Amino acid sequence: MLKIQSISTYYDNLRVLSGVSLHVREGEAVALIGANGAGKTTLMKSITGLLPPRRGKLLFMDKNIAGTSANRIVRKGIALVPEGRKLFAALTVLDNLMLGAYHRFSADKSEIDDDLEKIYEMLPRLAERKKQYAGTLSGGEQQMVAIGRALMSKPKLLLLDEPSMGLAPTIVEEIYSVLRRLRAEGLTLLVVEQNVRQAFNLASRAYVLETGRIVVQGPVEDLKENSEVKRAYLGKGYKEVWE
Amino acid sequence: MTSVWKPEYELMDREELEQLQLERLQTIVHRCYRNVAFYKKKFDEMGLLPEDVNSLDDLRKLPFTVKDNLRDSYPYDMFAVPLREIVRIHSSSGTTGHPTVVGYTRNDLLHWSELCARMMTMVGVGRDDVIQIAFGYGLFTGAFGLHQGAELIGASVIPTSVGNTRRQILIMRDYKSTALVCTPSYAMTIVEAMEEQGVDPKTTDLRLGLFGSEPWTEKMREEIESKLYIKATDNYGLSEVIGPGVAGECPERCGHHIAEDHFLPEIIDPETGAQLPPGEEGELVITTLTKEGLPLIRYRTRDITRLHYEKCGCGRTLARIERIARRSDDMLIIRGVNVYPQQIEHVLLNIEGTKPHYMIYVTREGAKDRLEVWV
Repeated sequence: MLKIQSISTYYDNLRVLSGVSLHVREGEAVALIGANGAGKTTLMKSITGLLPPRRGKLLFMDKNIAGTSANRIVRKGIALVPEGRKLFAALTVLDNLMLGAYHRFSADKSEIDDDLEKIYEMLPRLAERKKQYAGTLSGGEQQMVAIGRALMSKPKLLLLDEPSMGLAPTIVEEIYSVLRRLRAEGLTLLVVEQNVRQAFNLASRAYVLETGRIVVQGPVEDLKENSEVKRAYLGKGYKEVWE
Repeated sequence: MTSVWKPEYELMDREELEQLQLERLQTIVHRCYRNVAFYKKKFDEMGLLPEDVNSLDDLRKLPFTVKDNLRDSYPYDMFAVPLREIVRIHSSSGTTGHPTVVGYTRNDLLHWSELCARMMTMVGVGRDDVIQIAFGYGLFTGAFGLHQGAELIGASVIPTSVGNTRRQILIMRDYKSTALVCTPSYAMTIVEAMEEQGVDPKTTDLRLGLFGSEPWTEKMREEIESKLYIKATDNYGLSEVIGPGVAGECPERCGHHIAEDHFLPEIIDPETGAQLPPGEEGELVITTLTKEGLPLIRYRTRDITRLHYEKCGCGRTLARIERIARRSDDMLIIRGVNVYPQQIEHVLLNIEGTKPHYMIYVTREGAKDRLEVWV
């Protein structure tokens, strides 16, 4: 579904991604892990057109999308749940969700209502708080609004940039059970995470990004055995690390 | 588990496979540059950076690795992980200098077992088979690779190891071995011993032979098949790359499918090092795509073959190498004529009353080379 071949992305003259290649197949959940500053968010921005790569190929459904503007990429079926939620704090939950469907204005209203119902069914807390201003919600609730807003665009591929950031472990578990459900329903996911354990629970394959380069990649089972991944990302608490 | 069959890789669409290979190649190049001093030095000398590899075509920019590089790094200098991550060590005999040492991480061992199991499944080994492994157990990779593969399939493994031919035959008959793993020449030794002992090969349960670790001819295959009443299959591997499991035959017998999800093959002109197009004869060069312990970039195998990418009758999309025609380094030139040992074998097999055991003596009288074959 998504194929990235050797992309390099720059902030002015600073190269942040150096020849990154990655793919996500239809129906697959893929994790992208890495430390702060590795270039994970930049990669998300490159895919969504917010920061187009200077070199390399970006193929979505076999069509090149490099250089396509962000709003057109959303129409093609890629939605991003951005790092830090980025909600419209002064708008209600409902308005935030409806904004996710802004490009579907010509669609049948009942279709959009159906989608909204589905999201309320999956995230019942949002139904309870639909009239509340997004800024007054807790972090976990805000994250759910951000996911709901992305789903309102009816994406084929959902990108999530650190959905667990700053949330309590029980809330993280809740968010991830929603993501597992989306996966089971056939949605294709690419998740950027620092919470490697959760990401490995969700995804079947993963990539490790370090200073703008993919240094390890493969099935999650292999990565769990990889010494570099164990040391750097699974932490000292991981049962097999004794050093 | 009755068979190890990975259609998601073995039947992969070429475009998808190339994407996977590119991703894995870039990863391995980064890891080699970062973790292996030999590669860092080579890259720096050539003014190359890992990010210069932007397509599979860029492979040709990368340096070769030869067996001498491994010898010079004796024992562990080319490992890309600390020794505590290595869970198995194999090594060559070292008859021609320092031995080459190869190390496997836990993941490497898992991949190796799976690759051997895939290769064995391809020729029809299943969990009902009783597999007699008459390869030498020890530093040599052959026995362990097929042993692990057979266990993964769930077959019954008899690790007889090599030698004591009388006992091999006894075990084969009484333990009801259905598959024999050994070198083709040892299969011939077993045939001869059976003839001497008056054991009729038809009375055994043997149905399959998985032969490898030395080049052999079609002629020899016919002979083994007709004398042992089995299907004889060939497989290809080399310990530096992983051991057996690099490539193996499918029932179509149109070459060996190379496990391209783990190994990136090229054919080069052994003289100039230039990459040759598919179908042309040259030296096989392999880049390992998933190995953690001892990753190799463009390893020169010295084996001469051809690469074919046309789809195979068995349905697998993986490229095929032809059976190894010869080595790029054991060719004899006798009075200007190229002579390969396999050619001599072929002639011998066509003479009634000879056996494919022979020795070649090359001497020089004055300016004239003289080649004697002792049969």
